[in-house]
Amino acid sequence: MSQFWYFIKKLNNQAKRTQLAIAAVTVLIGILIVTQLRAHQTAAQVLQAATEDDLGKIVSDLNNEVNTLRAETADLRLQLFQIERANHDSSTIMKESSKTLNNLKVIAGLTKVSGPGIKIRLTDRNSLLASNDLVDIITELRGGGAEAISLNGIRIVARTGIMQDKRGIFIDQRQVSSPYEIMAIGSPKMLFDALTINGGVKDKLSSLSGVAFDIAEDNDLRIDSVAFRR
Amino acid sequence: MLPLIGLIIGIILGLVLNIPVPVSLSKYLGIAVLAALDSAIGGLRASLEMKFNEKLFFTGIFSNTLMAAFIVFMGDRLGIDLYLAAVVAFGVRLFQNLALVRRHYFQKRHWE
Repeated sequence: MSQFWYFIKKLNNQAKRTQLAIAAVTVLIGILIVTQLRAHQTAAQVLQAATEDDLGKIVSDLNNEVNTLRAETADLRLQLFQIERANHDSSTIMKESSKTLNNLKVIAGLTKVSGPGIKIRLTDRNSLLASNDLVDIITELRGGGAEAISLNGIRIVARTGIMQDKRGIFIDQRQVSSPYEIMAIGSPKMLFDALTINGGVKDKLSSLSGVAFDIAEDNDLRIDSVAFRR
Repeated sequence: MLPLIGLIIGIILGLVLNIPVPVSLSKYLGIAVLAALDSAIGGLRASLEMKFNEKLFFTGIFSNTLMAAFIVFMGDRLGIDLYLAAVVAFGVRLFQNLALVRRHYFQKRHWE
């Protein structure tokens, strides 16, 4: 009899545990089913409500939109390309021409020029120097790559005239006399070499009595523009 | 009775929690539902046969679910609808277990 009760008790316990275990799994099933239904519903809800005609309309609308946007993209791309090309062209032309203009202005002596260069101080106590000697110096400086040259403050450009008569030396009808101060802007080393080469203009002039030829390098020379006669 | 209450609690929990699931994972969820359902019915059958064992029951749930998930994953990777294998296996077992549960239930009633 007691054995029977014991069996019943054990069965009861076992049954309860079994039920509990299965219940735990069914809770899981409930959660999973609801979640799954939700996921499916939200995805399909929007399109499911629409009829076949509506869907067709939606599709054709989207296709139209895609085509329009595609055409627009091509248009804009072409426009961008053209603008880029035009921009590139005009900016290069501007750059080039302003560079050329600057160079021409420097050559013509229309602008003030500043930069490194050399300063020559030429004293002539016995008045032995002739205009040709000055021209020689200027020629050497030009050969050495001088961008701008001035003599006693007068800018020397292509059309500058250097003349000599009984009264003295004239540059553009202005008389100059010793000491001559010549400034040249360019690479100081190259200008220096151009003047001091063996048998060059410095050697030639220094051999004259009473002539002193001093060359100094300067990192910040300023040469004024050509003074126009009124 | 307890399993039914559990199912209702689960549904309510699912509604309250409202877990967001990406559409790409809904296949896995479906397989998980099938695996859990299979385990539940199998457990019912085992309990009716007086062979229920919690360890077997819970390890069975996890191993079945993991294997099913793996099969679905492999199917996706290989481009084969391999998940159908899991669906068929679980489906067959589900019906078999259901039939046995029915039989045991009536036999038990008959003995009493």
